[in-house]
Amino acid sequence: MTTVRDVAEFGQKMLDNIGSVLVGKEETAHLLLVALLSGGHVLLEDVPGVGKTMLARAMAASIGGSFSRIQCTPDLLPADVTGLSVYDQKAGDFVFRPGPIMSQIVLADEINRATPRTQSSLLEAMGEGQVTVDGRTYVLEQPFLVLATQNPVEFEGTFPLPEAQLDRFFLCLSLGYPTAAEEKEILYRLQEGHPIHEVKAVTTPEHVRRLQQVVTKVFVEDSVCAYVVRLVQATRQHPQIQLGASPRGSLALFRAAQALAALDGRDYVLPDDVKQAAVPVLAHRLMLKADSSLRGVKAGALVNELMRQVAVGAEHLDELGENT
Amino acid sequence: MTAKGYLPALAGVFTASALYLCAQYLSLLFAPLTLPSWLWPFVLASALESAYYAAYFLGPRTPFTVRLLELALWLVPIFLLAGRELSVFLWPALLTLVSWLVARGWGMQLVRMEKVADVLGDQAASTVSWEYESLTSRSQDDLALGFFWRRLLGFGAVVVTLATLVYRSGLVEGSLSVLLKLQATVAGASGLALLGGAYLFRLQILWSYAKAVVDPGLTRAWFRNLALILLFVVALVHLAPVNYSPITAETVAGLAARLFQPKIELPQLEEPVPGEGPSLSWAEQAVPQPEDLGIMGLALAIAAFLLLVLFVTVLLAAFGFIVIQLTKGELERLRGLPKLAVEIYAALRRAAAKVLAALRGLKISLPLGKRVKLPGMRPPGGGEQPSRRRFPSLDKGVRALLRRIARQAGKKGLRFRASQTPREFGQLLQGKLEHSEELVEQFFQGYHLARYSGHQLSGAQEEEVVAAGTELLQRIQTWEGDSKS
Amino acid sequence: MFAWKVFALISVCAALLWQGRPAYALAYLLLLFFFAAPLVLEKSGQRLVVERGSKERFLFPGDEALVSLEVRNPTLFPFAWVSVQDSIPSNLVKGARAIRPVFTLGPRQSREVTFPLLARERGVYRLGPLRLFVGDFFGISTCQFQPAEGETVVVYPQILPLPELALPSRLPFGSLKALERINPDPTRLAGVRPYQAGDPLRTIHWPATARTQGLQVKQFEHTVTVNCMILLDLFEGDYEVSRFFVATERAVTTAASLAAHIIKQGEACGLAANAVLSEYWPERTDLSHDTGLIQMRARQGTQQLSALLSVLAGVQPQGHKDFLSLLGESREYVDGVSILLWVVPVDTPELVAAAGRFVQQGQKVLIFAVEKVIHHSLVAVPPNSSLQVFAVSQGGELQP
Repeated sequence: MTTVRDVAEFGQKMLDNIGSVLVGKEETAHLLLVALLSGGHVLLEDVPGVGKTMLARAMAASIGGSFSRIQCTPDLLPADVTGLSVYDQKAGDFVFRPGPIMSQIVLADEINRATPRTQSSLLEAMGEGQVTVDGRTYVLEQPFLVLATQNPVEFEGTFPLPEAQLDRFFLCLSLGYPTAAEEKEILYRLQEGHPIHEVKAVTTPEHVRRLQQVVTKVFVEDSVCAYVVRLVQATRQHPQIQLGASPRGSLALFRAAQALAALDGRDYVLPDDVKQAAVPVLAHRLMLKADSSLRGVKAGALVNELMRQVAVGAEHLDELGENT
Repeated sequence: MTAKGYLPALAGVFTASALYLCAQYLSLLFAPLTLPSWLWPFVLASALESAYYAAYFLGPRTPFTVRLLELALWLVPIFLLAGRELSVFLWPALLTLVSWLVARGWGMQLVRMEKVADVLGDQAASTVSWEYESLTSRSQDDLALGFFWRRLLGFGAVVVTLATLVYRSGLVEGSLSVLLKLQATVAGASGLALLGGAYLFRLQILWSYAKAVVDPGLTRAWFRNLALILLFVVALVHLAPVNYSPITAETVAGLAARLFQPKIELPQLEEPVPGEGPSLSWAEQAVPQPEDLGIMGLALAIAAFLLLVLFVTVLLAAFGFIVIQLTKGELERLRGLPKLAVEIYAALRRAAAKVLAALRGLKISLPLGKRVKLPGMRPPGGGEQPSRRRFPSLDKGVRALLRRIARQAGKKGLRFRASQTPREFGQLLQGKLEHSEELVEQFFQGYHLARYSGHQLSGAQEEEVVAAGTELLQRIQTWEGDSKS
Repeated sequence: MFAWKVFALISVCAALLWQGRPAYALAYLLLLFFFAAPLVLEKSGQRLVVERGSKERFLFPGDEALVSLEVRNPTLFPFAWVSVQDSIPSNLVKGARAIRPVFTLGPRQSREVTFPLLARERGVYRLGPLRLFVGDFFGISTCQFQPAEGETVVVYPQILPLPELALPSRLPFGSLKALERINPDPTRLAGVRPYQAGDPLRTIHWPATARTQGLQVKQFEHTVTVNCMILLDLFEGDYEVSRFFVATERAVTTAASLAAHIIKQGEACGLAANAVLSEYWPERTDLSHDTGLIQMRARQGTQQLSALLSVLAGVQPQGHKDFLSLLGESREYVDGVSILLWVVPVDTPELVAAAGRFVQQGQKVLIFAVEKVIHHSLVAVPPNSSLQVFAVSQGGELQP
């Protein structure tokens, strides 16, 4: 029987495996595992050349799943993503050629360069877990994880994802530039070839599906659940936020906290898990007021500010003898 | 109470102890100058009274007769205690007068320091800041507390000179030597404490003019650190190596003698007549060997110092109690020594109340496992499947303990905020309480299990967690607290 | 201090000659207080670390903020008192004077101090230099240090809704979006779409056609877009002396409000100004501030608005480049932009003539006069006209 201990072991093996390819990004890799175990998708906002592709490939190789990469350009069509039926003269029939979305780990590079129509097709597949081509529905194989990247600096010719679409991403992460020591380590590691070729699978897709089931059963005590709700509701009331997180955000935070607890070897969630997941889950779902953006206020900072204000548990307050 | 409240006391103690020390050395060198044993309280009391009076009450319009009466307050009893013999009265009276006058100077200097606006002019005073402090420190003229340093080092030079003469004469040994060293330590420590307090007082005045935002904990930290410095200085002067110089007065004198011997005939030194008193002939008398006070002596000196402080504190507290009984609530009118006494009494009362409360709290927080079973703590019965509850009302012992820990920590300045998780609070405790990392970890892990896992703790588990929490509570109670929070 | 040091040395000599613990004790004390302690104070003070909470800060006029500093003592030396003085420009000081905190700092302790700010006027300000004063317990020495950390505070110009500037809120587009597109730009591919009857065959996208098995044609962006360019006149000679400050500030506020309005509508906006930048400039920008010319290409998005406002926060009038020179030197930025917004003190005949030349090239020119309007006939033209003059009024009447 699969238990949370297996989840913790899985997590450690995956981190070791990914760590052999990517230097110094344990926290990002850890959150990526959270997304994988929660069945969510990830938006990576980062500049080119920091290892996004390697991260996705290492993850795919580690779980023994398939990997594909979509380079988004303005002329990319929805069919280029989902696949299309092509007429085979020999067979005398249309044959479905699956698109890159049919893989288990999909890297959609520079999603903001694709047209809104193409973006929609990708996001629909992410949301529904299936694609429909020429009237036929093809279910996407689980586990299914889309890593979409977006350049944080707006350039001409881009179609930035609207805030409503950003909500569909479970987490928004950033790798960032490595430190000097890490960059030095990278140079030595890549001196004689890329370690990605030596990455072996440490689990199977079937096992990951079972682990995902275990995560959903992690116990969440009532006060922790209430804390999740309070935190998300606070994002809707903050004076500097125009649009707060939706119930999809509450669900994502709930699930992410469960995954974090399971990766820690616990079968119950602590308020600390909620806090750890709050910024990556909620920050990209918030639409700030224009004035706030101009003042340099960041969504992540607002989420941190809310965590300093929102009470952790009503019962907790009774213990302290304090009122809200 | 500002620094000014304590300074006249320190000034009085320093003046009395330094003067008395000098007088004792003089009495050893010159027999007619022996001191009666009852003189010390008079010297101390006159110094204290003079310092406080000058700091709070004395003004240019104070009638001369009042000052004479004040002096008479001390001299008349001395005259009576001296058996109305003028020859016996003169030396103690002179000592008391000098003590009174010197202490008056301290008090008046404190008053002058308060009136910096008069010195600088109102306009300058309103913009004065610590740049002024820097400028005065770097100037060639004087230190910021030149008055205090001059007196302190003046006394120091006199004491050192007399002490050197006395020790070289071999007049001091045994318990007398220890007593003199103790007195010298008291004098030195009180003098440095006076200096440190005076500087803080001066800074407080300058900061008030400059409208600086002063940290409320600064005064307390100042005196705490000053006490540590004084301890260091006491250890330094008692333990540092001495008498290692190859060139001494004797060697210089000998060298000079050898150089000038053919030319100058040194006068023949008379042999000291037995019973005539100490001889000052250094050339003939053996130089006393430098003695080491040793750890025991140092401990004795410190203990005696602390006993003296305790004695003075108790005395002042008793005085404060009497004042409260007499004034019956009109305490805001009190100034100077009576006000100080009342505040010391009130502080001792508060401290005693806290100790009693802590003892009571300790008694209540002993493990409950063997005594009382709280409702809801029934272990799962036979055949019942352990179910997870979303609304746990069990394990109130553990949760009650966290409440007590939070309250106690809050009193010590470490607030458990509503937005903090229990783990974050635990990390805060680990950072503040020394050597308690494992204890905190053990308690909070147990708390998490009890609170968030949906399972009940077994009896043994709960006992362990409660024991850890109780010990944690005790450590918080004995912790001195976080003044920053 | 010199005299005390001499006294200390004398006591040392006396101790060495006289021997005996009392003499040595005095000598040790004097050496400790007058030689060792000041040296240790200075050395330890140099090691104090001051860290600012942020290097840059962006505010609007009227905003309040807290500047936070962390002072850290990495040594084992306890500082009796530490005082921090941050140089805060008077336009940012909240209250009558800047606060000056004083605190004690123990070994390995750190302390956070905060200074309140109130943004009164637009500008680019530099906080600092910071001065740290430290002292001992006995008034023997104090030291002053100047950590290098500074902080830039950018106070944006005021952004007002256009009606508050007596401007129509449909600016600058009016019904421009409904205009027909003129010339597709073959170098700027915007996407592909299915073929429609009448599409030129040369626009067929063959790779897309092969993939989809259906004819696909390329879509291009058009040469006439709704990109806007604001040209701001800050030549000192163009403004009346008596109203110089009010008029120039109104001009900057107008430019900022227009930029905010355009970008909030999702369109691209750029800026060119004959101005110099404040000397305290955030390091991230590479705009030159000594040529009297500031030029920023038209771009979309909040980041562009932030960049525009940051520049407008720091612009100052200059006296050697007039507006016509600005027009001449900004051709590269102006060509290809559909709407030009000129913020000037007066709509002089020369300016109107120059505007006419731009109109002939197919561009729309809107002139915003912040001091006085001469060509009243251009004020009364229909809203879709290619050349219009607007009188900017902010709570007061313009000169006739």
